[in-house]
Amino acid sequence: MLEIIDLHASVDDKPILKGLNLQIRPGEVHAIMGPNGSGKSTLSHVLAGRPGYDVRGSVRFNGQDLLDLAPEERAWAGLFLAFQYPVEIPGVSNTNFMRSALNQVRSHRGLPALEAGDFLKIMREKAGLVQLDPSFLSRPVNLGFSGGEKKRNEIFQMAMLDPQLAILDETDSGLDIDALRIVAEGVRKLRREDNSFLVITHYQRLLDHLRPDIVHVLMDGKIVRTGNDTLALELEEKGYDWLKAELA
Amino acid sequence: MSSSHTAPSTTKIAWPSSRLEAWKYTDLDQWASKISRNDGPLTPSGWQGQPHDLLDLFTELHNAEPLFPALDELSALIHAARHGGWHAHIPAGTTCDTPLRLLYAPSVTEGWSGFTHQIQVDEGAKLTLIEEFDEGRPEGNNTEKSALQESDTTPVEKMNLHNLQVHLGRGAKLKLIRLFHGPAAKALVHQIDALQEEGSKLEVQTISLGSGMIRNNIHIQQKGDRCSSTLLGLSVAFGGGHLDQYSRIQHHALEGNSHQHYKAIAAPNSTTIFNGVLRVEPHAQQTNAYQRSSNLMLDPVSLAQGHPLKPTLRSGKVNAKPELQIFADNVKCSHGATMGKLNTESIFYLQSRGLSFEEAQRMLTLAFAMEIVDQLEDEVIRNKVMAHLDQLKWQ
Repeated sequence: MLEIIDLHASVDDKPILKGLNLQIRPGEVHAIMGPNGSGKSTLSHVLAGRPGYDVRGSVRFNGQDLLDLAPEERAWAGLFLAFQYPVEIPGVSNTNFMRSALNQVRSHRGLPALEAGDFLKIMREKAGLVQLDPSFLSRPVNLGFSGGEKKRNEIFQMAMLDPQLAILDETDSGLDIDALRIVAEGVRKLRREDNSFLVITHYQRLLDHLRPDIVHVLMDGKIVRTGNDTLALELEEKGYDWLKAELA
Repeated sequence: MSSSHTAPSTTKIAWPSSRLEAWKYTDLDQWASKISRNDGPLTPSGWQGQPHDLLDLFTELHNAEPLFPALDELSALIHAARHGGWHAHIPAGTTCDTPLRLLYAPSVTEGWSGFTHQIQVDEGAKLTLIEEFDEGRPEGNNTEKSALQESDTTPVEKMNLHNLQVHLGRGAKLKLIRLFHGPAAKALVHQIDALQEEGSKLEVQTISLGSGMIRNNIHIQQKGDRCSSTLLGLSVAFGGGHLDQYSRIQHHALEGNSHQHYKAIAAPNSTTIFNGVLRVEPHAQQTNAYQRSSNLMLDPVSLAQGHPLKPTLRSGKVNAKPELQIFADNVKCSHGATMGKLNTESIFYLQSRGLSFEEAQRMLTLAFAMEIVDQLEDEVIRNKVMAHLDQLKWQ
């Protein structure tokens, strides 16, 4: 589904990703862990097409050259990024935002636009998945939402747009234990054989809920270790220093 | 109902000089010189009111004296060379529950026309007046030219000048809700001169949109104590439009209140201007005045996405100039002026959910505008503004 070969990215001539390789197949959940500043968020930004990066390398997404696509074209192709810091958009209600977004995505996937009634039904159902209070749907996007509410709103949007590959950029940061469980349960319910997740996190706790198939460690712009979920436990217990020492 | 015709005595007009601070960004002489046929016979365009039980309050004005002497050169000029106008007198204690609607018919002639209107609201009376200046309808829906239109080369086919004199008696209340729609090749100058007596309340809500030229002056003199003036406005310039919003509020008396909130959007190749003069005279103690101006400049897609700028397309341009002159020492006056472009982070967020750059720009721009549109106190005007904005191509 996703194949990254020798990906380099820099900002203002400062290299951040330095030859990253990664392959994700349908149905897999991958976790990326790594110390601060290792390039985790840059990877998510580059994949979603955020401007401001100088990017080299190859990223194929379902056979398409992902790096060649505008951010919205990546969304149409089935990519979704749950932002680490969701953006507040005054004056645009969650409902209008999602109706426009979903109809755009649907039309590019060859599906008809939804009738208002059907849209509302789907929206309520998906909001229920992450226990997002329906009153939040008529409020401006993320405006005045707490940290936890913003993250729930990200997962709600993900559920609405039904991506093939969802990147969760530190979706667990800033969440209390209950919110974390709700978000993780929401994500777990969205797992299918034909969709995949790339979960960027610092902590084991989210992975306890999501049970990743493969865990990667990103350090200094490269993936330096790949293993199963016991690697995450090992990192939780021992930190990153032993790995750094081993690599040195 | 239509205005009758009084030919002005002269066709040579001494327009306000752009050397004057108030006319720094709009040179009327230059606009007038672009009128494609300004040497022909001058004929007035019409104005009409929709049926209303207040309509008999209106009489022809062309021979009427002004309510008060002209406050500046422009109103004197319009009055001297007027083609017509209307007069309304709301007697003391009258409360008009139904708003009065006036529709200014689109111009059918070339050249320029001047109109003087008067409204006298006596003690304790109350009125809402809703005005539409829509120059766009005769040509149908295709009057909005694209942003690629170069404004400098557009000939002006028509220039209309209106002066509205307002006199509010003690405790009188007047609410004015106005929509100005000026397509390319049309120039519109409107000036309110308002005198407020003790305890009167004036509210003016103004929406200006278009790809032509609109200059909107609001001059308010608070003569009596405890007056209140509330101004709300939105200017949306596109397709080479030049929209200039000028306000001048003078506090002469005690405990006056003024509150101004203006927003402006300048699409590529277009210009908006905000100039807010607030003057608190030495005796106007305990004045409470607030002025806020928020301005949005839109980039062409090509520039925003990092491609080389097309030579005919530039970013929207904004001039914002608050002018506070405070000569009393026990007052509360505050102001804020901001100008900026759309947040790139917000655009990326919307794009990442599947909206195109243009749609993201449109959604965020409308959201910026809606803060003002939502406050419009007339549903008809609000719906028309929303319909205009909905169909606008911001590029």
